[in-house]
Amino acid sequence: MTVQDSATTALRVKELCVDVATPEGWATVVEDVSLAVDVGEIHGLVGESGSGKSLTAMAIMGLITHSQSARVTGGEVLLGDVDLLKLSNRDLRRHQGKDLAMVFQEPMTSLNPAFTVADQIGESIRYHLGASRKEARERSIELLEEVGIADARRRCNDYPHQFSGGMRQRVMLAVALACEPRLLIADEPTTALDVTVQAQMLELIRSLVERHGMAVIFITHDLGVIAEICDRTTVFYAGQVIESGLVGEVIKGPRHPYTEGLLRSVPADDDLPLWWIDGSPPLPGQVSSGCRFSPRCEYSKNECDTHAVPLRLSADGRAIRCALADDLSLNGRD
Amino acid sequence: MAHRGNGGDLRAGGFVVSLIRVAFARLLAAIPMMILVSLIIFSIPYFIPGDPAFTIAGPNATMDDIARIRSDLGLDRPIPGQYIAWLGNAVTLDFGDSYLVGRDVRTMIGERMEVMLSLALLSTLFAGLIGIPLGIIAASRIGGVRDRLAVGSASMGVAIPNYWLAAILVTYLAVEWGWFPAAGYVRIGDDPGQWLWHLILPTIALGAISAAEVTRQTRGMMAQTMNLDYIRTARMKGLPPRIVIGKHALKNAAIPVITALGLQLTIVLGGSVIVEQIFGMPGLGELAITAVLGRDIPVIQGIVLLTTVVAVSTNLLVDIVTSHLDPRVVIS
Repeated sequence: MTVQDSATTALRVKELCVDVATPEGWATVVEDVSLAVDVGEIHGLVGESGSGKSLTAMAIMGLITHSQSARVTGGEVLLGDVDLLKLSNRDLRRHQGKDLAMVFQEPMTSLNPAFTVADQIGESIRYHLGASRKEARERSIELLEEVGIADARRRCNDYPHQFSGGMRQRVMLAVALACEPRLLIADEPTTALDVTVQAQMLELIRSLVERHGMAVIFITHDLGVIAEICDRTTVFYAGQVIESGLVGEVIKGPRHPYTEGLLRSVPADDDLPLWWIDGSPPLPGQVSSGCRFSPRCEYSKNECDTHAVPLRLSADGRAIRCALADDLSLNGRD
Repeated sequence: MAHRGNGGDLRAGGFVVSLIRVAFARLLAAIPMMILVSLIIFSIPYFIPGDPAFTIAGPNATMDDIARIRSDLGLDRPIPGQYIAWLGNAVTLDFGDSYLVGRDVRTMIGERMEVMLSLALLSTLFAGLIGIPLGIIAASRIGGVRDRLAVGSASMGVAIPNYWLAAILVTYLAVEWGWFPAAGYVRIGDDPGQWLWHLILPTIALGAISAAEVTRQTRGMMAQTMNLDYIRTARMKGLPPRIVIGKHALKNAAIPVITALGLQLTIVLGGSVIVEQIFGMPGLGELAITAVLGRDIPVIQGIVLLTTVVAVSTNLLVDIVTSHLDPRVVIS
């Protein structure tokens, strides 16, 4: 899978910063994150828990403005020409659920137990597109069929608790797709599902993207999943983008030691012992001024800790945040 | 009704059917409890000190008089036989005549039931109308000014005894400023306007604590609900706050709130005894006090049974409403 040369950019995130409240005050946990996602592209965000990928997604979706424990402190989120961060709550709501929508990690709790799935799918159709109750219902049934719910006409009157986890995530996907959004954000949509169901879900998402031609941000901590469905990927570490590029290139030839470590940690088919990266990421508010990965990095030199490392763009569209990138020869996976 | 799919959708077969199912199941479950209650009510004369026959006969009665009264009342028969006979009458709401006044207990209670029911229903309505919106407003921004005001007044409301509030209301709003009648009761059938007019102060006095309790309950539930994942989903859809709060949060938060309202109704039943006295209303409370002081067993029994029935039916109603709100509740 490759990105078309003529593809237009659906979403452009520029230097996004997000702070969260800690007992010691506000701490920056998403720092200068920039992303571009083309129409028809699945862009994978990968990184450990707490690396800032989910908060980045919440900030793009406009769900952080409501929270008292996190705040966006800078940057732009451009959906087409509109900077979503500059909109009033009222204007932002016109785009939420219509131009961009999100599937969450928790299929068991993300649907309201008190309303039928048809109601919950049709809600944004009625609200954003002014559809009648009947039209919204018919459209909900179509959507349920599209996400692979058998006997959709009858099942649409069921409540979430009458569906399994995998089926609920399909329903959630139908909720997100209801208004044909230009951007779909999927935050670890398969993490809570059985392994057998995960593959079906990934296949479904990929086929929906091909049919609807939307842009997708796909968040995961699993590079295997990235390799399977994404076109491009951005690797997060401790709130920063540390590497970004086409999936094939990043996997075959990582240029940041953390990416190499992540790739080595994916279990292989052979009998090699399981690999891990020693240590743990720095806590929010406790990052050093130099490279944040340096304490865990096997290639680390003194110079790594003295200066902040900028994210450098190379000619082939890769971006790497490593002072030693040009000197290292790292191993990827096939 | 036929079950379909995953356990069957109760409402697919019609709301009324599910309603009847719930009501029937709860009524069946209430039978053992009502039998227990009837046993307790029946045993009241055996637990309280003193002999009713002595009470009725008065201080100058002879032993013959007392024996005659005892046999008239059936008090000399074996206890199980007495219970069966009593239960048979009680089912038809026949508790016999008052020992003190000699009138039919059913009539006496019937005359005064309207006061109690009016007070209980209006106070509960008042608690809901004040408490639910206040709780929602408070929860919409936890820690904000309106939240603190609501929490503050709710804490105060819970702490204020109803007899004190009743006295204050009577003293100022009724006696001093003359805005409301200070005492008395007008039947709803005679003049609905005057009925309401006379009930406003007692309703506030009786319902204030409940309103405060319902405010706290609503606020707590709403605050909890607003952090749930499906509220985040509703926001993701770009829905305005009135739908996110009024539809998605409220329906789920409503269940404990309605349970609390039901509980308040039964508490109000107890509180009405005092409030009726202060506002000089011819209610059940007054009757109950007279009956207890005079050891008027049939009247006491009638009142206790009636209040039990009201409490049980309230719970039944709460169960029905709750099962309607939460599709996961399936009555078996």
